[in-house]
This record gives sequence, C-alpha cells and structure tokens, in this order.
Amino acid sequence: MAWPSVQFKVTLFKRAAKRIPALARFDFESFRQQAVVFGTLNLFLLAALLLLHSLFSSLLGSPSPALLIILGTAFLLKMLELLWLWAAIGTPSRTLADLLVWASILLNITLALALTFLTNRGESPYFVLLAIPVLQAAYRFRLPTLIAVIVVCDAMTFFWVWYFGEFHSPMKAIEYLESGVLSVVYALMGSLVWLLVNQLRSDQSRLAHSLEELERTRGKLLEEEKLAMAGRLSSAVAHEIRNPVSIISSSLVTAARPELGETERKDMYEIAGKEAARLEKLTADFLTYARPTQPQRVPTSIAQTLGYVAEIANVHAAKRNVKLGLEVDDELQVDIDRDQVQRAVLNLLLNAIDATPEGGQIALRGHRVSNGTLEVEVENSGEPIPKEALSRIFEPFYTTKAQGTGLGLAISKSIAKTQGGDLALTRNEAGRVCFTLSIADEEPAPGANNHG
Amino acid sequence: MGRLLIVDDEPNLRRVLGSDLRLDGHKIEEADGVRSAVSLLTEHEYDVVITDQKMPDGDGLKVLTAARENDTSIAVIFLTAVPTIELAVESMRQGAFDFITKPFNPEVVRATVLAGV
Repeated sequence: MAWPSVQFKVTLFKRAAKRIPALARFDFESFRQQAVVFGTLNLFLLAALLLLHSLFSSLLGSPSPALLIILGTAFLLKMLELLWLWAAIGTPSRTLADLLVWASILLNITLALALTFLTNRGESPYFVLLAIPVLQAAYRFRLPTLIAVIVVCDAMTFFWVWYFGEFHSPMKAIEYLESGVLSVVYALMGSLVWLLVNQLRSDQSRLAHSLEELERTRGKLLEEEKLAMAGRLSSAVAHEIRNPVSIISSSLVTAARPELGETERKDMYEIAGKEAARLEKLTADFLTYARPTQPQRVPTSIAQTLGYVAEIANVHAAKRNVKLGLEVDDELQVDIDRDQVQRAVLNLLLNAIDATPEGGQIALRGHRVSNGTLEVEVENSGEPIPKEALSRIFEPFYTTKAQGTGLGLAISKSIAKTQGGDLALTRNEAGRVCFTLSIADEEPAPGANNHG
Repeated sequence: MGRLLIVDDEPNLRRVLGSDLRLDGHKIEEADGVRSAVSLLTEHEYDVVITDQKMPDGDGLKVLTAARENDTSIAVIFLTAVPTIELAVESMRQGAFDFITKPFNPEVVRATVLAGV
C-alpha cells in the first residue's frame, strides 16, 4: 500500500515546486485560494448570526432593522468579494491583496463592535466574528501585526464589559473572567496558526531551495555530458575523415614516384578512388543521421518489406554460416516510409550478422502491437553487449568494429524517431540479443522529435 | 636500409605507406592491430615501428611499450588523427621517436623513417 502515500508525496512536491515563485514574488493564485477559504468562513459566520437572530429572537431579543441591515450589508459585501475572487478578474498586485485583507479585518472588527452596541447586552455573541481577523492576520502578516490585531480584539471584549458595566448594572468579576478566557483563546489560536503557517512556509522554502539546487545540478550534469559527447564526436569525426584523407594524399604522392611499377601505380589510384568514395559515403550517412528526410508514408506490406531486406542480408549471413529466419504475418499492412524502414532494418541485420558466431542464428520478426505501432525485432544468438558500451551504442561514430563508421544504429534510431517510433535494445542475454525498432501508426507532432 | 613494422587497422593505409617506403629500400611488415603487432614484435626484430594511435583492440602506447620491452633501440613513430598534448607528452616520455599527425605528408614520414633506421 505504499503507492498512495508515494503519490501523495509527489503531489506535495509538485505543489511546493509550483510555489517557488510565490515565495519570492506575489502569487495571486495562492492568495486567491486563501482568501476564498477565509471569505467562505466569514460568510458562514454571518449567515449563522442571521439565523441565530431569527430562530432565537426570544433569547436575543427581536432584532432591530438597523442590525439586520448591517448584517445583510456585510453579508453582501463578503459575497461580492468572494465573487470577485472566484472570477479572478485581472491579476491584482500584492498591495491590493493586502488592502483587501485589511478591509476584511477592519470590517469584522467594526461589525462585531457595531452589532454589540446595537444589541446592547452584557454577553455579546458577535465577538465570535473576531476569530476571522485573528486568523487572517496569523495567516498573512508578521508577528508584530498579528499581536496588534490580537490586542485590539482582546481590548474590545474587555472594553465592552467595562462599558456595559458603567452604563448598566455593575459588572461582576466573573464577566471579566469570561472576557479573559475569550482573549486567551484568541491569543492562543492566533499564535498557534501563525507558528504552523510559518513552519510550513519555512519547510516549503527549504524544499524549494533543494528543488532549485537539484535542477541546477541536473542542468550542469547535462551540460557536462553534452560537452563530453561533443568532444567524443569531434575526435571521432576527425578520425573518420583524416584517415581516408591521409590515404588519398599518400597514395597520390606514392603514385607520382617514377620508380613505382605500373601495376602498383594503378593500385594506388584505385585506393585513392575507394577512399574518396568512403568519404562521400560517410558524409551521406552522417547527413541521414543528422538531417533525416521527411518520411513518405504509403500503405506497405510488411512481409514484402522485411522479406526484401532479409534477402540482401542473407548474402552476408550465408558467408558466415548464419541462419536468418523471418516471422511475419503475410497480411500485415502498415503506413510506413518503405525505403527508410528497409534501411533501418538492414543496419540492424548487418550488425546482428557481425555479432553472431559462425553457425548461429538470427530471427527477424514483424508484428503490430495494440496501439497500432509496428514493431520489428532483430534477435541474434551472439554474446550480450558489454555493460560499459550500453550507454553509447546509439551514439554516432561509436563503434567496436575495425571497419565501421559507428553510424548504423544512430541512423536506424533517427529513422525510427522521424516516424514517431524508437529503437531500443530490448533483450541483452547470452544467446538472445534483441533490438526492437518501432514505427508509430501516425506522424509525431511537429517538434516531438526534439525531445527524443 | 631498415626493417619496418607498420601497425594500423586501415588496410589501405598500411598498403599505401608500405608501397611508398618499400621504394626507399626498406623491408616492410604489417600488423592490423595491437595484438598482432605485439606478437610480431616478440618474434621478429625491427628498426622502426610506425603505429596508429587509436585502434579497435587498443592504443598505440601498448605497441610502444611492447617494442621497447624487446629492444630499446627501436624507433617508434606515432601516427594519430586526433593529436592531443597529453598523448604527445606521454608517448615522448615513454620513448617514442616521433609523433606525426594525420593527414600527413608522406615525405615527412619517409624522412622520419630514414632518421630512425
């Protein structure tokens, strides 16, 4: 049952992450949420007081019209505030938000005082309204402001007891004691809420700081990895280009030496030509990888496509006595770019042949998975790819072969990605090494490839 | 003239360099990687070894070590497509004769080999 708790933590974490700007800047959204909660509470209290007056008029005395008008106006004002908050018209500044809170605090204090005067009773039920200013100040303001609000509210309760005693029957000590209890309750409630809120805020800011730090470290690591990859890439490119260039220039210089025999001179020219062609192939391969052409999808028989590639690969496989088996549904038709997919699969097959020991076997399988994606698996019976190579096999120019540019897997992956799919090593055990190429049913959204 | 061993995983490079140096009267043998170079070095004697730096089965420094273990008078010439200062310093410290970057001028290689013989 660990899952819900983990989920909950993740949600908290995300919320905290969202609040990062709120700590530095004014976040209207979080203010709105608080204000709506306080506003609703306030509205309930006012409604309860109105109800109290109509239900228990025998106890409280029938309400005067002025009292009802004041309560009603306050209720309407609060409703308007809530409506404005719900509609969230515009994005008010921090000053406006503070003004709104102060207005609410003053409204409740004045209301409590006014209603108490109007009912003119020794024990006023309206002091319950003072809970709202205390809570709001505790939630939103610094300690000195909170203390000031608590003092004003407490003083009001004592003042009323004294005032009532001056003009009516003298007050007993018990009345002051009641005011005292109420004052202590407000003071405790205010401080407790203030402490909890601040504890929460400091936890939140610590979390936000850790998150920021994590994000920074992640960015730095990514940057370093990018630089390391750029370094490996440039040295690989240098290696791949300078070797043929060296061979071309040396063969031409050697061919120009008069003492060289005629057949050897011909060989030298031939080698220069071959190396020039190799450079051209390297350039073409690299362009295929780095700037893949837009796929031209047409309904294609997968059995025919894979059969064609298998036939080409079989020529190489037969030389090494490797058996190549094809498993595909004859009826399977998918919209794909046939040429590109053939190229991607051929790369995988040629790699598989190189990786398979003499007498081994390769399975080429094509099938459709539930969401319509075409999956082509190329599995060989060779040794697993060593752990240290796993993170780099799809990197361009990474190769373990003497004769290879290291672009095969990179190109196949790039082809899969332009058709909304991917290429992955899906099994890596001795005797079962499997690459799976997937091609999505539909084109990826524009720019989706950039995230891959 | 001298006995030469050319170590490089590129067959065409061995071929071209071999033809060029053979015309100068050297006796040439070839190795396609570190492993075969090391075994040739233990079996035969050479005056000069020309070795590539980056090969699939290891790097040229291993060839240098093997060559100097067998005969400290062997001149080992490095060929590299990706020259770095660290590599140059390390190879010189281990007693390399020269350090040539690819693409190279064949005349320079010929002159260096002649100096090393």
